[in-house]
Amino acid sequence: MFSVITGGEQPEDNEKEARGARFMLREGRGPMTIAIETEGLKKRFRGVNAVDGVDLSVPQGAIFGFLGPNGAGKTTTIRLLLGLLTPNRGRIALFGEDLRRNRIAALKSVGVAFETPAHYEHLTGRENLDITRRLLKLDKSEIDRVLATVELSHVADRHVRKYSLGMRHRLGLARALLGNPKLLIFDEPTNGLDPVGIREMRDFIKTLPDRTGATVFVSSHHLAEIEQMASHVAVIHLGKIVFQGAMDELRGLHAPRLEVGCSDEAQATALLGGGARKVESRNGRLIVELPTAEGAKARAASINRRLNDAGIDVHHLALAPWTLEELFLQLVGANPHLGQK
Amino acid sequence: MLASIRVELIKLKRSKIMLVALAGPALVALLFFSLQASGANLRAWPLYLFAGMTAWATFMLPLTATIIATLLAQLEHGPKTWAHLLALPVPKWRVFAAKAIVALGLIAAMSLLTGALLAFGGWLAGALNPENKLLDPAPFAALAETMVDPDDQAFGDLDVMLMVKEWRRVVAERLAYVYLSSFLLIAVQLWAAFRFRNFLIPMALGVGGGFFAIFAQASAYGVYFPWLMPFNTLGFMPENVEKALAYGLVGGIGMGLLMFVDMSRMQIK
Ligand SMILES: Nc1ncnc2c1ncn2[C@@H]1O[C@H](COP(=O)(O)OP(=O)(O)OP(=O)(O)O)[C@@H](O)[C@H]1O
Ligand SMILES: [Mg+2]
Repeated sequence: MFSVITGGEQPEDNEKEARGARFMLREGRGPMTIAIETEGLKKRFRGVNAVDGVDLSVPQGAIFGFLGPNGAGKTTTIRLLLGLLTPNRGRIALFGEDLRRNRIAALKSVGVAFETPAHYEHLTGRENLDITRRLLKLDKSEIDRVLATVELSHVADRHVRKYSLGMRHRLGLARALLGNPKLLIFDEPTNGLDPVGIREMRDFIKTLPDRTGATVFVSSHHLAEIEQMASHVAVIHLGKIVFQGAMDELRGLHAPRLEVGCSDEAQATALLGGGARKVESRNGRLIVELPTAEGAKARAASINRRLNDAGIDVHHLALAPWTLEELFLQLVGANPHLGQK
Repeated sequence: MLASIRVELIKLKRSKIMLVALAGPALVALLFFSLQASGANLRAWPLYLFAGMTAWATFMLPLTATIIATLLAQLEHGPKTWAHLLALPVPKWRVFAAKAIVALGLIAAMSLLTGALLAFGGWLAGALNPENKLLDPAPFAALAETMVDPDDQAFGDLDVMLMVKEWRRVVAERLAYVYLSSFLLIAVQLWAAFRFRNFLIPMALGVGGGFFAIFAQASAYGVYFPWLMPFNTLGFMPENVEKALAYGLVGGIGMGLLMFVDMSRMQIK
């Protein structure tokens, strides 16, 4: 279901009642299939609505991408989900357990890795894991298991002070995996990693649901990154959810575009720009919008052929990825009120 | 709860806290050993030990409690591990309670160490030079009874005969009082240390509290001043001993409970 939020504000009280009713209903059901459910979540910091009426519904088994630019409210939302911040309004349920009423039961199924990996620097990686393991009352063998999973066994007995950022991220991941939690929450897990590290992290996260059966909730400000790993996505902007749905629905939202570098831009624009097709010049390249994702390859080939036939040399031809900014322009542009606080 | 305490002890590995816990008592003992060894003869064991305990109660205990509380909190503030710790399926208050128990345990151990090292220093001074040997007044109790004027101010208002006859029990008891009455100041220091990421705030509070304590002794309200309670239990003003003990101990437990409630609600940003 595609859901760009529309602006119609309901009267506050009705809204609350409706939410309450739905919430109760879900709690009563048999097997719980919603890993994270939030209703009307709000958090204000000194006049700033960091999180402003967020309704999330994260299906079990999903890799749920939580996408938004810097300051959108991702970290604040995650801290609300973990009970580290108290919302001004709204409710949270993890696997049907109400966080406010039953924090401990709700958090039993959660493993989390924060934005910047925080460990006890004067202790070894193993000692750091041992601390969490003891608090979770898990078997000692868990430590070696998670160390092996994140390929950190060889430096386990080194002080964290001597770890690289990549190792710290992996240790954070290992800590989140202790006890095989049903829900893994990662706040910008690729923050500060190099391209290889980013790819490794992404590939690792992608395998998690199949490997462990976990639901993964992962935040990022990289559209491409989320596109490559998520099955579902919510886009947050200024504390509000501007899109929520399956990844394919988000892809369907933005038509694919072809980036063309050629010898004669003016002629190429005249040739390709007929009809409804949008062609614009940007940084010495032509951006040609394609109608749908299906058949994009065939269309690219045909455009190449037409240009060649017209005697225009093509030296660059690529499907241009959408940036988060462009996606926002599209999502927010359609609903200008979302741009305001 | 045991797991939470165990975890706090693991974190103390290779940290400076243990050093502070050893250095505080050692410095007090060293000071009085030097005094005694250099001829400033305090003559009798109870006088010597009470002098040492006064330095411990008024200065070293509040100062080391401040440092220990601050370091225990900085263990989490520094690497920003509060978020991880408080997002675990463990009651939040337990995190703070475990740290408080570790702080109380350390300070209990330091109290005992102070007593032991003071005694060792006193013995060593006498062993090095027989002229500086400290006397056990107990054998002279009968003699003292005939000589000591009950209103003599040499011991302040301490019960002189008790000090002469049962000084070992009195010293042990007062060392325990000093410790128990420090609960309030420990709770206040822990609260400040947990609450503020900036370690200067709890440090300033501790140093400021200790500084005012020196002058608050003369004040009628001094008995309500947390940093003065350990000193007050030593009994230089006997009417204040029980008050200081009650306020320090009961107040400390109450303040600790308030702290757990407040800290459990803290917004971890
Ligand atoms: N402790 C705080 N006090 C005041 N304002 C805050 C605080 N934390 C966050 N904010 C504000 O709340 C908003 C959301 O911040 P948040 O950290 O949740 O964003 P984010 O999506 O995680 O951003 P980033 O990608 O930079 O991590 C921002 O406007 C930020 O300035
Ligand atoms: Mg963030």
